[in-house]
Amino acid sequence: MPAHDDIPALSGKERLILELLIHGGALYGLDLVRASEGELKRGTVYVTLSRMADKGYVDHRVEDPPPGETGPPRRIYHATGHGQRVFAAWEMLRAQLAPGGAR
Amino acid sequence: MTARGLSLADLAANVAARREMVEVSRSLLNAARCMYEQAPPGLERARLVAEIHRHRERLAASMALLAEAEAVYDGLRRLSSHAISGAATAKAKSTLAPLTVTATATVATTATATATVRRTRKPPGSTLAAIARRACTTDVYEATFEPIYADLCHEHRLAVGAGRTWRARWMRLEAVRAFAGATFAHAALQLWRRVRRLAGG
Repeated sequence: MPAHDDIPALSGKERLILELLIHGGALYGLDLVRASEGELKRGTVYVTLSRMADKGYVDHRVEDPPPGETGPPRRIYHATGHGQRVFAAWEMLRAQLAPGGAR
Repeated sequence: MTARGLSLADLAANVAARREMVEVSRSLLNAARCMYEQAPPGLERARLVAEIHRHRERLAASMALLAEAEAVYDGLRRLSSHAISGAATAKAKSTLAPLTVTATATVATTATATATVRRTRKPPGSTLAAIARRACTTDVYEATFEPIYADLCHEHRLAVGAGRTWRARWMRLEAVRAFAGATFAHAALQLWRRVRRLAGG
């Protein structure tokens, strides 16, 4: 049986994050948590985002801290071109495999 | 001279302690500025800008506390020497007693208020972030825990700015939940990667 390790995989949470980033533009991690309506948690979203960044699906830029801001600067995430292509491919596959989908 | 166990020596010690706090705050601010000068442009510099702002705020707060302590100490010292000289002793004593009680209350209230303000103003998760920074590698900390801490600081600042004290306190519980969740998720991911590596040979 041939190995398929080189085919990009997409978990449910990763698909949701890519969907939110592609349709909502660049977002903070906290915005992703709010927009997911409970599917993503504040504690785990950055672990998922970090894994996605390793796969090349998302990237981030660091926000310029406003004057008087305490704590580290926040990160704004966006989907990369590779992430958008993987998402589009998975959506197409899902549409193909769905009952009554395109043949 | 004492009232409710507070003496001029206590007030002098209070002034000395606050002066020391000011010096410590000033040293930390200078250290952060030096680190900023030496840091390469990018994420590290952005983090140091936030550090400098925080130290500047702390210095201003400690200087205000010092000024207040010095005012109380000077006022009592002047009244005390007046009483000892013997001129209008009775009047001085009657003036001194309530002022000393007020001073005692002021010092106690200031200490309590400072502790409360520190608890409310200190960003939630700062202790947990410090532990994570020591326990994890820089990459893991920056990818997993630092963004959580940044969000918590942001939300906390908004809550404090809007006067939502309970929301600011609630953020502390949120911080514990978020850090615990991140720790478990990261541990599970590492375990899964290790198992896959072992299974793959």
